[in-house]
Amino acid sequence: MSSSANTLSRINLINAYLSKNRWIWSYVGVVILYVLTGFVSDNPFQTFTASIGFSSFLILVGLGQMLVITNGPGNIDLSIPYTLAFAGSFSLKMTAGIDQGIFLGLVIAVLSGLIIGTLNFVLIRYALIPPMIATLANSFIIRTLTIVYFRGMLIKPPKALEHFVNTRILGLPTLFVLMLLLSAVIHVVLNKTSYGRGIQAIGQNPKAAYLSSIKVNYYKLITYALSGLFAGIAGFLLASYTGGATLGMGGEYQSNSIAVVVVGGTSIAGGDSNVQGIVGASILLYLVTNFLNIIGVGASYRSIITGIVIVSIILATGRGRGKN
Amino acid sequence: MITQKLIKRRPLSIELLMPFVSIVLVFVPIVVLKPNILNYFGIHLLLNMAIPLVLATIAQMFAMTIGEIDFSLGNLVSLVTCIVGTTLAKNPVLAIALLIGILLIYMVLGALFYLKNIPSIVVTIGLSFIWTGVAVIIQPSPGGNVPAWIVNMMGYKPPLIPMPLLFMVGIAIILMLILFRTKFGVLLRGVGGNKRAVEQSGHSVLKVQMFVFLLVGLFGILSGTALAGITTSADARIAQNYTMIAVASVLLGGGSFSGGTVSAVGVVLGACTMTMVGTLLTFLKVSPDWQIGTQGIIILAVLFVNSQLKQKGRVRYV
Repeated sequence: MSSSANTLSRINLINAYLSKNRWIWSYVGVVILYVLTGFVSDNPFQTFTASIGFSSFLILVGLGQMLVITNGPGNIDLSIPYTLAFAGSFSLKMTAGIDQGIFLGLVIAVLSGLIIGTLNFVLIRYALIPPMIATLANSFIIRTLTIVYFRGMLIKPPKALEHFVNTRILGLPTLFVLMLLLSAVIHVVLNKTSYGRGIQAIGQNPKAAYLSSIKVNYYKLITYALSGLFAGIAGFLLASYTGGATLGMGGEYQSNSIAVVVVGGTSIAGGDSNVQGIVGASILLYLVTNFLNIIGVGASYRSIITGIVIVSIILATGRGRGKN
Repeated sequence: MITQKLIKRRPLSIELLMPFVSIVLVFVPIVVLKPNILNYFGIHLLLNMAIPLVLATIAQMFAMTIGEIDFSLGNLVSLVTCIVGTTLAKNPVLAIALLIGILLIYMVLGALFYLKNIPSIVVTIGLSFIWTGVAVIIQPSPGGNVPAWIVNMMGYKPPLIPMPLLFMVGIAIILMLILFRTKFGVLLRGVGGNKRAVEQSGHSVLKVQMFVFLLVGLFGILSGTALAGITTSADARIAQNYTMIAVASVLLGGGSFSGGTVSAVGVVLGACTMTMVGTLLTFLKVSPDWQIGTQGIIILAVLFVNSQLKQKGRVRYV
């Protein structure tokens, strides 16, 4: 009798822990996928490192998207794909393909990202346009600029940069290690700084946050600027990683950046964020793709299965009614 | 006397005029540039492409009225063009089964959004991958063979009044009846305004939500069928930007993200305006490179004016 009650309370404890730490699901997924890859591949670790190499960019833009979503209902950044393409094209052009230009390229990528992000904020705050449409319409404009100024130019990245983005530390891609460090920093920022706690408060109740003299506008400005900044840097790095910038290079990051945020356990309603989940979910998404690739599943079936994985993780981690 | 004054209904506010003003702002330059568009065939051509967008916008409107959103709508519309344009001719039973399957998925998801309290935006992002995957399997590259009756239906030319115009008026009336003359319409707007109030008055929010998402799927399917009839092709990517254009049209037509507010005429006008913006830009000889950016600027400008009218006198904290 007492032992069954014990088990029951233990199960309840585990349930409570899981519903509080929903990011664990993405890591459970990663482990399952890794084991599955082990069955079909001679070298699962290689598949794993290839996946985390690509996931670095998704982690970077996912962190930006997470900060935006933390600000509460409606806040979302749909300008990421073309910010990425614009910053990638512009910065690579400014490097002129030589190693001396890398610093200038980085500066351009950072500035483009910051300016686009700030513009998003201005449209949302001062033109009072809902974030979803403001960021999307802004990205239409940026897309046009990218087409007009950088069309058909495949600029080779500088040699040193191309080498750097492909290096490894202890067998892991350097970029991934850097993204882990950045994630750690963002985690601390979210939980220990007034900015991080501020945006979580805004996400939970903007009115209460405003009345407790949190600088709502200032923090939102920083958030959208950071999201733009991360997308800009991601564009610069991704263009160097894949050997050149293209107009469509950011396409997959639109839905994926939102998906990793929520699959990673961050509440889409805002105010409750999770950094570890972003890392886990990003790796999971690319592991799924690579695993399906290895067993010879075509692109369309891969798309369907990715969709099913996203939907089922959301369903598994749903909070249930009244528990929000 | 004073109380009577207090409970007097607010007169029609200026924000309801916005959809009318914006369509005039787009239509008048078109007529000035191409005066001969003002005949039977001109109107038919001008408004024909608006039909699928109006239907997609109505789908998005139902979701947005209860504070949800369908992020996969454009992918669904594209998928339906593939089902209608390829499967329907080859294997009608499978095609019908697929369409019914889509409706069922929408109904189940509508229930799950409510029961498990999960965000529609992310689930529909997952759904968009599934729709596109299925669409590419059905029709890997644009092509197909749309049944003649659908093409004829979209090309139907009744005497005197162009078909698209009749359609717009008809759909606006139907929509108005659904929204403002049925019990469902009241509940729909109620759920958008205050879910808990509807719940506590003894109505099932679950049922409303399931029915709403059934309608989202249904109007998505109608939109895809109309689009296939007009373009006479099946294309897995043809309507991907419908998702957001539909959202913009709903906002343009006086709807809102937080739900509750809706205008039947506004939604139809909003979608027509969004379609005509593209036509206007072509008539203005704006190069295709600049079109999408110009469209972005126009959306921002219209919504800017809209928001200024709406927010007047309200306190904003953020």
